[in-house]
Amino acid sequence: MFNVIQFILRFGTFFLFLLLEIVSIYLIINYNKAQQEIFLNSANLLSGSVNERFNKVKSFANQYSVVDSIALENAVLYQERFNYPFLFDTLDQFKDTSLSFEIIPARVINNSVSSQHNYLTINKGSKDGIRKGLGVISKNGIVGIVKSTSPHFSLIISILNEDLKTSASIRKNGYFGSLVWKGTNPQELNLEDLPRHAEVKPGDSIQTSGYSLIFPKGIILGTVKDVKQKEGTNFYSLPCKIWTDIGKLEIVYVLKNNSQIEIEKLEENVFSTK
Amino acid sequence: MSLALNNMQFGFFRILIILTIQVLVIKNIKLPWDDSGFANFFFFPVIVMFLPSQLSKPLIVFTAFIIGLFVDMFYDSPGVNAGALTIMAYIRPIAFNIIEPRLGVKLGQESSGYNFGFISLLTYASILLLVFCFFYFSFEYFTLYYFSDILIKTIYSFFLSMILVSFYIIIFRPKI
Repeated sequence: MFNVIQFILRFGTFFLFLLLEIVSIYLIINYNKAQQEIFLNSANLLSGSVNERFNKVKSFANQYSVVDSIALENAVLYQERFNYPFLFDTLDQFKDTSLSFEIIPARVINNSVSSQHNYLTINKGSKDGIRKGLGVISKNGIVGIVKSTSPHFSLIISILNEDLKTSASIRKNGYFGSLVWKGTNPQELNLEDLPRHAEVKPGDSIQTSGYSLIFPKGIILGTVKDVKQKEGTNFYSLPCKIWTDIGKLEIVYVLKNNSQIEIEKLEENVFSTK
Repeated sequence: MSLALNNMQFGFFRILIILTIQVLVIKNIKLPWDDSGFANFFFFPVIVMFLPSQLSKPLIVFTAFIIGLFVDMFYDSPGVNAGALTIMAYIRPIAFNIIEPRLGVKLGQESSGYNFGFISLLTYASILLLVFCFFYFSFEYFTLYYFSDILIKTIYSFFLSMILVSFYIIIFRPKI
């Protein structure tokens, strides 16, 4: 016992120093946005390539189910193409390159659903034309928004992150609100700030509203589970079941709006000269 | 007793003034040709550099942490200054050993603190400031991926801050 006390007294400064450093680093990671990003950002560090390697092995085992699901997606697209040829002919007339979305496929190499602030890493980066702020979707709905990129990887804020709010609307009447995750069930998001006079029933579909440059209008996200009003306000808070299973994502598509930079520049000019 | 109290009061007063100058004035200095924000002036490390060495080591380390946290509140960077300043306080005895006169006088026996020459004080201050700047920017970047940036900023800020610290040494000729 005496020895222990002597030991602590002798190295007391060192232990105190160590303790205070740990506290500092904890503070740095927890309260500073930039360092937190770096800490989380597997894109910039060694773990990006390690994860990719591990994922190659994993996806090899998984490849048949992925191929099946892609074949299914193709089949659906072909079906639409063949069954509604007139639709596509009409669409051709409206082909306008100035407002087009370019789609970049990518593979998810790191993913989480368990934390309050979930992120995904994909294996495409700035060299493939991905930049900060682009939207990411999967075949079942939206996945998130690109937060930062390195040459070969990108970090995406998942919709299962309390910091991300996406604009979504009720499909049948167009009333819109913002979709937020409450941090519990990865299959359930809340559609908030929806005005009270909007007619909503459980089972109604919700879709992206198109009020941002990130996602085009009309991507179906899921259905309304329950209708209840936020206490003390004139707004609904609707729990919605979303169709994307973030935990099982393999392949995602990055939406690159080619006119986004131009529009943002225009808006910036207008607001800065005000 | 009254003398010691006066000394202590004077010490607190000086710490407060230095901190105020750092967070209200020096923080806002921007060099006109420095667009990328390489230049950072650090003046407040002098507080920890010239704390009297009669104080116990854990107390110095802890004081450094608290002062760092205080500065962090104004820099909106919880933990960065605190971490770097704590490291600086911890290696203070090493820098002290370098300039310590070899007279056989043990550290802590001298009640009024050591009087050093200007060059010794400058050496001592520059070692500590260099360490502080390096760890400050390491914590700020938080990855060695940008090692060259960390070095450039460290050197840039070190020389700029050293100007302030030298003035302090010339004017006050502090005891350690």
